[in-house]
Amino acid sequence: MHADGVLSLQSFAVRAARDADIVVLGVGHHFTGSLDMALDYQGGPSGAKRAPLRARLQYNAFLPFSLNHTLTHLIAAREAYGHADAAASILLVGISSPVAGCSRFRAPISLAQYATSHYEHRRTVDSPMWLSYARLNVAASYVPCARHGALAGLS
Amino acid sequence: MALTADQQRGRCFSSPGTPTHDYTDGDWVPFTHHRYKILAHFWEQLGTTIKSTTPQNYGRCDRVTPNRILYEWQPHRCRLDQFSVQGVCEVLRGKSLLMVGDSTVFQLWLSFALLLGAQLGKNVKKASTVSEITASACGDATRLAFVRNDLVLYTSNVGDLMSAKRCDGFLSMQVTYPECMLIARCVPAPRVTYALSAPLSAC
Repeated sequence: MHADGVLSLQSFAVRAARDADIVVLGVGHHFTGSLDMALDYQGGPSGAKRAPLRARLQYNAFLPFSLNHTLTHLIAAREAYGHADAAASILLVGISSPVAGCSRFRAPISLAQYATSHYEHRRTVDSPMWLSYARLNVAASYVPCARHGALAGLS
Repeated sequence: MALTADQQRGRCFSSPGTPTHDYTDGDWVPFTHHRYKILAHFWEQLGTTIKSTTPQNYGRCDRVTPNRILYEWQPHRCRLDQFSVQGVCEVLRGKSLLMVGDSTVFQLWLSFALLLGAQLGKNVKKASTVSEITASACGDATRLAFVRNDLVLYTSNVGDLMSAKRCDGFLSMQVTYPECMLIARCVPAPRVTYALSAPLSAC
């Protein structure tokens, strides 16, 4: 179990809705880490593998629902404050893809080297958090395009 | 004056988000002029408790290998625009930019601010986590702000954020708060409620 709470949640509503001309929202590594821990807790001592199906479904649903909630209300609030084209002034940044053992590399590596290092990491370290990143980026890409008319998803 | 080979290649994007060439075919090439370095005393100036040995010191590479080579992507068939302080300032002059997210988004914000040579303010509290900070860039014509919110959870009700934090704390305390048994139900605005028992269809 983690030693202490990890979530840092400062309020940004007023700045994002009223003050800022451009808002950049980033969903990142702490997001999956926190949800992983919540799921671990659901599974009791045996962890996430034993977590109830309902909890796992909610885990998968959290990002799309939370992001949809944030975008819906942020866009509405910015429109209310008179920002022209409120949706177009919001950018969404996805989760960066980590490279296993990146401290070993002194220069950019090829895709093949990346795949090898990633496989080695997966073989020796169980890191479901990493597996979540690609899935969550797909979800983060879907929500703005499907629900809020974004011009382009995350790439 | 004759154009260089780089100048002769067309731009990779005719406009933002509209590629004109395959920019993914290229090579990493050494990037010789370092734009900024983060040294140990930098964090104290920001009003944080971050030390040179703590994980939040993103300048560790500058300290361990101060002369390391940096690289930039150079496509074969086209050219990417170089980062230009003047160009960025033309776009952002008179504007305020806010970034919200976790520590990785703070790294993005910090890099952007340092690339612009911005005047950085102090963290809202003396801690090892940067939670709120602002900076002035482009000759004080552009305001850059960062707010730390790991879930990008928008709410105008501080109680919602407190609820989420309490749920986070319960993970370590192993105290059961029934309302915290995993996250997430979105109810009609403006409240966000965290509950296990909520049906997914409620969102």
